[in-house]
Amino acid sequence: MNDATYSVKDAIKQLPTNIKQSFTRREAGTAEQEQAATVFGNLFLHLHPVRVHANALRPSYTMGLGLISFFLFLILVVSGILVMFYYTPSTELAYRNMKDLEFAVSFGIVLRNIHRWSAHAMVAMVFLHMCRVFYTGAYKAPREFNWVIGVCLLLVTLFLSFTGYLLPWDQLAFWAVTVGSNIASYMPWIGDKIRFLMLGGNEVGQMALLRFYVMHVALLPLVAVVLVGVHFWRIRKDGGLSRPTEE
Amino acid sequence: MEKAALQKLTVLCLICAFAVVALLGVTAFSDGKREWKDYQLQYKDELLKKMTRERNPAYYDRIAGMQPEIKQVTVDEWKTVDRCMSCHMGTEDPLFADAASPLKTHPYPELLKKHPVEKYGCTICHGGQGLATTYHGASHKTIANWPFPMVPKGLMQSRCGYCHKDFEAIGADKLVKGRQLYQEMHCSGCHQIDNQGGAVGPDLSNFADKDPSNFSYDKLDGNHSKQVWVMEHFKSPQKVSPGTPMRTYALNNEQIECLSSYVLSLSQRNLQRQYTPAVKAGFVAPKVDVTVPEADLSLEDGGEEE
Amino acid sequence: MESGSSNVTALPLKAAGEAADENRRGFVKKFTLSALLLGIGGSVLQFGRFLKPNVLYEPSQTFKVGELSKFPYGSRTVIEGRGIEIVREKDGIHAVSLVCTHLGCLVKPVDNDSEIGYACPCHGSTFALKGEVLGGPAPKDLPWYEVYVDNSGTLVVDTSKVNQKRTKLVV
Repeated sequence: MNDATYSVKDAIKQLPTNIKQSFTRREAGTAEQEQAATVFGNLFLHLHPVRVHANALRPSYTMGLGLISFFLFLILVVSGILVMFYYTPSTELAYRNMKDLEFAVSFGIVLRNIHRWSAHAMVAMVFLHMCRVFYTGAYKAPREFNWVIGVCLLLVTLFLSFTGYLLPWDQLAFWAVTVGSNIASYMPWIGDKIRFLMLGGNEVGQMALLRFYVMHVALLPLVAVVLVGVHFWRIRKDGGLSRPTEE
Repeated sequence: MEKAALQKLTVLCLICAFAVVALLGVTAFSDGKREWKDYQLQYKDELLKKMTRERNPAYYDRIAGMQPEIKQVTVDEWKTVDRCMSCHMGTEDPLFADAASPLKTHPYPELLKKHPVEKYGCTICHGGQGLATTYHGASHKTIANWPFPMVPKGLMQSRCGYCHKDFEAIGADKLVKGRQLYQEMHCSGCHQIDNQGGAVGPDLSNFADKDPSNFSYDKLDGNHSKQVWVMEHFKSPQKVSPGTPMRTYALNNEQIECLSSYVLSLSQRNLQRQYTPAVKAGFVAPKVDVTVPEADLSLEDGGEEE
Repeated sequence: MESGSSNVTALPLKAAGEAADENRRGFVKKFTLSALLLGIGGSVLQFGRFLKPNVLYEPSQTFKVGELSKFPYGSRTVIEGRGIEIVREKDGIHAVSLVCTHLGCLVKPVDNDSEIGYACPCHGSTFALKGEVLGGPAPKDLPWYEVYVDNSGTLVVDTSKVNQKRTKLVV
């Protein structure tokens, strides 16, 4: 225990470096190895591959529609959580809360509108993304399963949009959900039961608002996050974004 | 990737970043600019000029240190939140009697004293969207199909009669005249009020509380609001509701105003004791019509009790 | 920087070009970083403003208690539901909080005692007529709140502002 004598002063001097090194572990190696390790060793970054084929980055090929959809989802989550601080899923209070956001809350109208516009944009972008994948044949082997995940994500997006639409509890919301739930009731044999479960009753009222709220802020986002994770993982497993071969 | 493509992407990235930051900056800035802030600062300036510090130093210092903020009154009884006082700062301050709107003092301070803003809010008498903090949001100009437009001056007494049924005691001359006209013209021949009258026309007992969606506005000349509907309907029932059995009566504008005020005061609402107006002992609401018999209240035949 | 170029005259040009590129890269990096910081910092600031409520669905902390004539000289009037007492004396008027500084019970005004003005029924704290703590577990005096008379002659109390100096309002 001669050169390993523990010196408190040295330990304190080493503290900043130690703290920094504890979360920015860097294994030595060649420059390329170190670059790879930065991506590979980071929880958030390792969703990306260390290397990407040049053609996959061509904007005219994918138009970044999937990326835009994901980014819009993130915007929706952030603006949604913020708006949740002022919203109550009660038929007595919901509309008043929306008016508060519009008139009384600082930046309220901006965040609420960002949320609303991003929602509409996300539905459009997700649809366009689906078209792009279809028209470039990117659903073909080995990517068939990812296409299925994608369709599930499309449904989740549409349901998120539908459930969110009711929350302001205004005329637009109420009648949209009335029509939507009536459409659901046209399903043969199980339609009425589905409508009853969806609305938590026979009419569009407090129970429906509460259910739609829980679906919109908890259940569907969770499902979306899981499916998005699988969707990205499949892209990696299938060899990256499908792209034109070397030109 | 080739250098050219990388450069193009970098430039694009920079331009977008700059644009986003600029837009966010503009949003933040314009979010801070609110109508009511200007009016509150104007109120502060004018009030400080009208006061001297010596006479009331506590109040003066308070006003001098005032920061703009949204002011609101919540009235649970009618589930409203009124933010009118965020702009209408001088309503209760007699020093602003000759100021310009919105800072002007309320023209009837005695009425206001009996119905203090902290207890009643503003919209129960004046209509409008109390939750709003902008001129347009509050419905100072009628918003088409909006259920609670501002009550025009000529129909203000309808809001007195909404709670006060002893019209003479409160000096509501238009309501007295309106009720009298209702009697004289025998509207009860077709319309019911409180179980008295005929069933040819709709029941008017809670006309004031009827949702505006029950009326058809496409034939109206004026704004699409229930109040305008009522007045134009009195002027020409056939024009506003084609095919109605109600004929056109010869009424001048003043009579129309009185009748409209009366009809727009009819409500079946029960209020909490603290909001129920006190009435003289022995007050009995006058009969709706002297010729049409009242509903039979005896228990034997059931009468017309619901 | 490149080394070992065959053409001597081309070296300075290439070096200059490289240096310019470095400058440009440095500038772009700085610009992007500052734009990022501005954007994120600005957003965080705005979210903070968003989360701070501008309107409260609570009874207002500033409220009218009535005309001055309601409070004659020598009177002590408890304002129900607000936990304050208005004390009017010859030399002025003030508002005392009736919330015990120990754990928040409402203290009871004591009559006919020259020493004890208020006594708390919960744990026995006692306060003088002017609110100073006399005994019991309470750590601090009963605070006074700011009062003022508005232009229509009504006395208004502001419980969000404590009258530290304990100066009475001269009316």
